[in-house]
Amino acid sequence: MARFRQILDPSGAPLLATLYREITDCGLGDEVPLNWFTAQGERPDILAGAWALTKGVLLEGVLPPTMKQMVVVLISAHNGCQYCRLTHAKALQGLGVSSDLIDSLSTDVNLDKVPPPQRAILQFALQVAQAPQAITDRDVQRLRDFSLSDGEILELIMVAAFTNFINTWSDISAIAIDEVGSP
Amino acid sequence: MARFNMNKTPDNPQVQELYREIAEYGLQGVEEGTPLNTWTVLADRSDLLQGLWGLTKSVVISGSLPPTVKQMIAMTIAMQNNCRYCTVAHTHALEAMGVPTDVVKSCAADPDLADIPPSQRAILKFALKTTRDPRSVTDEDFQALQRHGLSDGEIMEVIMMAAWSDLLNTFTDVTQVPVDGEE
Repeated sequence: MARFRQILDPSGAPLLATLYREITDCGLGDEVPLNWFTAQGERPDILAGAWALTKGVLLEGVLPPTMKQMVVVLISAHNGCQYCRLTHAKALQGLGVSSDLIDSLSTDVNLDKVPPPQRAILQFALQVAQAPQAITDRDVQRLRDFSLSDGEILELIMVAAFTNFINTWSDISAIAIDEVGSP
Repeated sequence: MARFNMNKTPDNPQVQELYREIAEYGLQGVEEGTPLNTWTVLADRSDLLQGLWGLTKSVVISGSLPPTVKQMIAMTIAMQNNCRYCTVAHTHALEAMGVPTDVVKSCAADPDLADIPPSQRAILKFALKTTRDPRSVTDEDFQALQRHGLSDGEIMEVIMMAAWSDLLNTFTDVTQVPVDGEE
């Protein structure tokens, strides 16, 4: 059971109503936003910040959405965050990625099913999330050699750090998996 | 040396405006009107800058917990994660708020947090656990904070503050931005 009261009816709280509309308009929910957001409903000010981060890091940007969602699934699987792993696996399915490839992100530590440049990107992101201080200049250079721009590498770092952030909230708030919708 | 270009004089008006706002809210670097180094690596990525600032403004700058408590959370987590940039930055913030040196030192060097008043100590221990292993946080940990009078909304703010600190530690560690004034 979720540890925070999930606000499903935002009427009477104008900021919350605006945020809920914006979140569902972006496809992260159906009638109401996903549980990850409604569990923050008691603090619209905090939700506003968490939503700004989600929009800036996950929804906008220049890296392909499939790439970013793969990063989220991979890191969530390693962190053991079931809510985020399943939610973002659903997003990958929606983007047309095969179940085979999606499953391999959680089961194959060598990422053999992923083509080399993408594999390098995923391995870098996982390292960022797990041991940021172990990242070396060579790791960054390797991504530049795969023609990633510095802006893209910064985005990748942010997506990795963002995944730890969303995993933390999902795990501690103990929200249930959503029945509908996906980011 | 930073792994990415730190642009302190961006041409993009939207980024200039964000720089002004970040500096005005107290996150000013050495140069007047320029934010701390962490932010300046994002000059070419206004989307990421906007997202990170949106979260920071809601969770770190505004909110209902006392600013000193929030800075103490950031400081103890930076120490736990061994992130030098963030440790120095939040030590400066605590000093500027007039927090006694022995309290700052206790946050930095004493795992028992003996010089910290009990309610704040409970908050810091909860925050440290949140970042170290979010899935190990129990209902009893929540009750401990409730006994110290924290509302659910305030507990949410503690969790968000902890997750924010971890995100910033990751970002500064991987980008290797130098401590402000040391470059």
